[in-house]
Amino acid sequence: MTTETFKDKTYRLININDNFYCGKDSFKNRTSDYIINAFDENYFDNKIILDLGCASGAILFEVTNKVKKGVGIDVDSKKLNIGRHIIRENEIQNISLHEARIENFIHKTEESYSC
Amino acid sequence: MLNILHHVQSPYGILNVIAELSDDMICIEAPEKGFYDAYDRDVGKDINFDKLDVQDIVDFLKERNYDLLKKQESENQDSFQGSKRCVCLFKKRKISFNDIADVRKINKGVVIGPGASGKTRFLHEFYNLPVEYKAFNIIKNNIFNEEGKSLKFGKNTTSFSEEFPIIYIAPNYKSIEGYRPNIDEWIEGLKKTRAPAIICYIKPYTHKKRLLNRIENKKVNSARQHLDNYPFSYQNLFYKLEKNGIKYFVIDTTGE
Repeated sequence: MTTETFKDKTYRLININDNFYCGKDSFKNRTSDYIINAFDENYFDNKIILDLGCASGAILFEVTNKVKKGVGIDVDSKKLNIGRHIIRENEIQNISLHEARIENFIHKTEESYSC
Repeated sequence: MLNILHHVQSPYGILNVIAELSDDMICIEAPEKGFYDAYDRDVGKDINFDKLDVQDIVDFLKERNYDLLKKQESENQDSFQGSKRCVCLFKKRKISFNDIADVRKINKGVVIGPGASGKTRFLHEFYNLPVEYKAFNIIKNNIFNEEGKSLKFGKNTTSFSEEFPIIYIAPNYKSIEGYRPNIDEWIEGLKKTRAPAIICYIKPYTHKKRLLNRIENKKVNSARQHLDNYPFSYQNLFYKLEKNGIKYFVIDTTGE
């Protein structure tokens, strides 16, 4: 188990295979937890998920072992880079994070999403 | 998943397209009482909405055939301004797709859909006529009734015959804003005919691609004639058809 703390203020704690990544305030709570918990337990199995305003991708990382594919969109390159660092370090194949304005992305995506 | 609605300048425009893109659910985390909370980079930009309470979002998505499945107070209220924050799950009503064989079983029907949604191609297929292209990927309408007129509802015909049981409503039929489809008038037209609707359905990305192709390859004076068709809310069309008790068939024309 490793813990990596980023100087950047990300509120979410990300846990991938017992490697923890967090911002300076993130141990207060885990927003991704209660959002994910709102869904049925098996909801994400083999689904394609789109997170608009994903920041560092915490919600997507939470379901990476379940989903077929996760796509995150945000305009904040610093937060996206944290997520990309996590993707690289954990060799995650099914999550991708993209820098774009939501207003532009939704008119260009050629994919359909379950959620 | 959409947790930033109160940070964007056109939340309903985004929701409208998201309602089309999602195949199953929309998850929104938003404040119970809506407000606009501009990011630093967006300070000073105009916004195009007044209210964005959770209930406003629920109402908007209801008119796009989404039901509120769950609403729960967020556990994280610390780093948040305004009233309590809620996580809401919306479930899309499943679209039941049909094929042309289903349409062949009915004795009358009206094809509807925005511009470039595949109506002309569908009609040629239905009437077993070969397609003729007038420009790249743009089909010439070669279907004429006994009077030599196209099967356009309102302008040319309001009735059905044994030979021509399927007619169509032009996308700009009684448009109010430019060429923008006026779903309410389509519904009124359908009520007059007492016929089921046959909807030519495409996803937003295919729709936009086709419209741009038309602008590029069709000789028209105004691009608006095409662009007014986008974005089109099929979800709102389904909602209104069901609300008015009008039976409908959905033909997926995406792959054509």
